[in-house]
Amino acid sequence: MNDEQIVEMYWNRNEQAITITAEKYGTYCYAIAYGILHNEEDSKESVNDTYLSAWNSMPPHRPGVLRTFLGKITRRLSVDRWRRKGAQKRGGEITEVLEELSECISTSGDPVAEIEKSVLDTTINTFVRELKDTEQRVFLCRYWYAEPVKVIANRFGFSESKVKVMLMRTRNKLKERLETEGLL
Amino acid sequence: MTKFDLFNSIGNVDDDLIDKAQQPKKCNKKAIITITSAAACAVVVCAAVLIVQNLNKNGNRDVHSGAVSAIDTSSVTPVHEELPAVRAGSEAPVPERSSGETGSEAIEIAYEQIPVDMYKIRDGKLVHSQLVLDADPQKIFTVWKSENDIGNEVQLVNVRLEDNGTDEVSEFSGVAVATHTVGDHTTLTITVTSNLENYYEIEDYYCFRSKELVLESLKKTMLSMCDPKPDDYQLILSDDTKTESKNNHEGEKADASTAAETGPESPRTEIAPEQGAASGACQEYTPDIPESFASGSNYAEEISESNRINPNDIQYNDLGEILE
Repeated sequence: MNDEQIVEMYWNRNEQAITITAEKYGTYCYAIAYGILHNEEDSKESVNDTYLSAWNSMPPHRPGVLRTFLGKITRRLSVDRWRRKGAQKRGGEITEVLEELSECISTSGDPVAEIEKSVLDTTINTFVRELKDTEQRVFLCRYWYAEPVKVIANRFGFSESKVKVMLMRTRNKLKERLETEGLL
Repeated sequence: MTKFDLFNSIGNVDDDLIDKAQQPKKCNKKAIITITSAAACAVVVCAAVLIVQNLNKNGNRDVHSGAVSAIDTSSVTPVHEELPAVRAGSEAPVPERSSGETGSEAIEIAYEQIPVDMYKIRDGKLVHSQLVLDADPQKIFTVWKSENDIGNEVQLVNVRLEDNGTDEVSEFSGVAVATHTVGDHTTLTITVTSNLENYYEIEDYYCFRSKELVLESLKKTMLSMCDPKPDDYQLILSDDTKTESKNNHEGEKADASTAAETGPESPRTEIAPEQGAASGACQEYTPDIPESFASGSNYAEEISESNRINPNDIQYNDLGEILE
């Protein structure tokens, strides 16, 4: 069954849509959740929350690519859950990922102006799209999927040090872009 | 903005980018190089078979076009592949031409195939492989550029193998004879266009390099084409892109009747050093021609019109001596 048909089932409030979604994309969503939460139980709960959120958002949404639509929901829910957990229970790759991203934001301590979320989203989207193909994929594997560096290196056939250098250079470019756009 | 804001914004990038991210092909450069080399090897083997078949037949004709099959010896051979070798100092066999062929078609000179140590830069290190290539510095340089991702705008201007020998130009029955006595210290001097400097450092995640690595790989590769190995090496970067000596034969024109009559080049046997003719490439030298001969003025006064020699008519033997 293709994505269009599944989305149509959501719109028709057919509960079978959730079953089919779980069969088709359950593993994908679980992988994203586990990459962030690093906990089986929490990851399963995140995935279940994803199905509920999808049910509530279709309609009005009619995503073209259901896979990434569900992936985004899972990712957001997993990060929120991670933040709610106590500091001592936090683990997983997400800690390192967030630490790396913190290099891209200003550490001056000055008050930061209110930034419209949409402006930041647009800037980030444009930045990622302008990256070279492999840089783009490595960047997203690390900061979207929160995959460990070792897994990324293995996927691309690179050494870990090469991946780290690549990510560092991309983060520097991102920081420059954010400064240029006046977002830092 | 906090790191969570940034993380969440990254989460909102376009779906097609997210979808593509986890579907990359494993970029195994070694596999790509291996597959490419294997494919090139297969092509060369087929070409070699065709060449041998053509050589065995006398004036083969293409059934469809009626033209004589041309022999193309400008082949690059990957590792362990051997083609029929041409002995140093000898000329390559030239196919017989049919009467229908025009004289304006150029014959490509067949070079001896020699093993060349190719040095390429990979991940900040020099990686060595051995290729069998034509004993032509231009071709070896072209392959070196290709292996090291250097653009075609970088050119090899000149290659000279010089030694501390002596040159003597004498006259015999009105014919100028140039004699070179090889010394005991040789220097390989190559001149490359200065835009090579643009490739000293490339901002490329897959190819860490430095000026030292680039120059070292060029030096080692070009030295490997000489047998015996020269004692010294010199690299000259020049802005002058004129090809002083594309075939490295310019320096051999000891004939002083340089009225700039440059007719079509006739194939010549390479001058072999006294060490032996079996040493393959890098045999050329550029003797110091006295100014009077180079300008042609004094010499022209001494030689009558009837004895004036056309450079294109001069024939050389294996030792570089001019034949009558």
